Amino acid sequence: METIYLIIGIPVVLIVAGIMINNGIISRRNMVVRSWADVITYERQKNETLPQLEKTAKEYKEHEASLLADITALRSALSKASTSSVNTDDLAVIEAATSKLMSGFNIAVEAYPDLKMGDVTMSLMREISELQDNIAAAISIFNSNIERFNSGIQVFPNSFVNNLAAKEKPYKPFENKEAADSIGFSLQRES
Amino acid sequence: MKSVPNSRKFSGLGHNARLERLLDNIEGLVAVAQSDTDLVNAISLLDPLPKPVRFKANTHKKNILFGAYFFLFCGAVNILLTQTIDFSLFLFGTAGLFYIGSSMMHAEETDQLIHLSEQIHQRSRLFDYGLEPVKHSELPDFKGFYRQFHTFEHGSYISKVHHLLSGHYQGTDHSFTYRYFHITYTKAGRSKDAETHVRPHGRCGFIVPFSLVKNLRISDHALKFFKPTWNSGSNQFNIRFAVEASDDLATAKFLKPALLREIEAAGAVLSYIDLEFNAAGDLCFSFDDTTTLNGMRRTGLHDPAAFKEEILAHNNMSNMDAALEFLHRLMKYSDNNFDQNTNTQSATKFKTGSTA
Repeated sequence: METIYLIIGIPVVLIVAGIMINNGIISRRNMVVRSWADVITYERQKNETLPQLEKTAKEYKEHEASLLADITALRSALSKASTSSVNTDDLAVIEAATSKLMSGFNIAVEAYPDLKMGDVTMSLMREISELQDNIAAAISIFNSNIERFNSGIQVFPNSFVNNLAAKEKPYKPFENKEAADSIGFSLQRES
Repeated sequence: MKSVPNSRKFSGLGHNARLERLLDNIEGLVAVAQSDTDLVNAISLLDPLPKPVRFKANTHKKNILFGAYFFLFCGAVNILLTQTIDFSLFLFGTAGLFYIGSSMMHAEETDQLIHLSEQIHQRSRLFDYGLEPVKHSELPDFKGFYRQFHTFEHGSYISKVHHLLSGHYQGTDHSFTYRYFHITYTKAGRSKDAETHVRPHGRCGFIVPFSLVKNLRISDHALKFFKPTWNSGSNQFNIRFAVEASDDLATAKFLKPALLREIEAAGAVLSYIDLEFNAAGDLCFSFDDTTTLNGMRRTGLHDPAAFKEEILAHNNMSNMDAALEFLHRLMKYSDNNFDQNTNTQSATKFKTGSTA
């Protein structure tokens, strides 16, 4: 009788454990996709500041053309990114375009100190600064979720269950030197 | 402010009695001090005493110490004469007891100086941060007031309110008036032998006007076991914190990634943190800690001149700074940068008494 219990019990325990591991892998993958969607959502919020930036760019006469070109490049990069499919290359393009726009904007602001102190410009820069903080935090959460997901499919026995059922591939965390430098963009204030 | 006592009054006293009286006077002056200058005036009472200021070994202490050496000597002589150690052990033990007695007398006197130095330094820190005790007339029923927050439901009752202070914080983007509390609450529990016992817990926190979100509670999972929770996009946050929200959409908007990271970072250094945003537009941020008002004291009453300098300088409370900066960042990441009203709203609320 005990042998029968063992013959039935061991496979049942293994199957239940396998289902739990498989569900864990799927739920961690969903968290990666969700945190990716958060990153792109916050990136897309830059679209809300772009019309105001375009308006402001017109005041910086000789910088206007290059600023408008940078704004168009960023808008184009933002439109290509998808919230459902994780593609860190798209993110790298967005961050590089943001970095280029912000450095151009900073140069223009420095060239016109009178315009720099305008209320709208200050609010705009504060908004962009906080947006960048949120994007940096969203990317950090995304990377942390990826680390958890990757560990979850690479350690044994999860790797065995993953090869049998979920067949998930590890995600690549977002690493971009140029973008990393641009994260933490801080508001330059007059003393 | 009391007047500084005339030092002639102490001329007939011995050094220790004089010092003891001066310390009593200083303690009285510190209790009613209104500024760092008052504290410095109180410390100045020690100016006529020889430096460093300390209690001299008195006759009783000398006698006790002499007794310790006497029994030690007798024990050694006994070993030499009788070549046995039994009776000597008794003599050495007695010598040890006498020595401990002498040390305890000295420690008690030294403790008095250290304790008063710390008391003065803490008063100075409170002055430096503009922290003032909340008057009874401002908040006659603190226990009733705090009960509007669910934060303390896990405690049976407040057994002691150590501090209830009011202060103002001026940040780069926001300024706000806050109330700081440090309480001990007593929690009933059952031991292994099923007997009911009560255990005291120290807890401190801040109550701040915060109108940017309402009816939301973010607490350590240990405080909110088996409760339904709203999940964020961060695994790390979800593992550590439980979120109770009346409006999921408002919560999703409020808990931006930067805020999640801020709360995670606070949770990494503070125990059992609890952030409760109530319906009245107040935030109660509390955690298990008793060190928020602590600061680094470098000198003390043993060196009055250096201590006076330290008191007149700004004395930092690093844990208080960290907590206030955290609250400021919560506001910064929650506000609307294009709405000028949000920056001033939080600074005025306590003054109108709308917290209760």
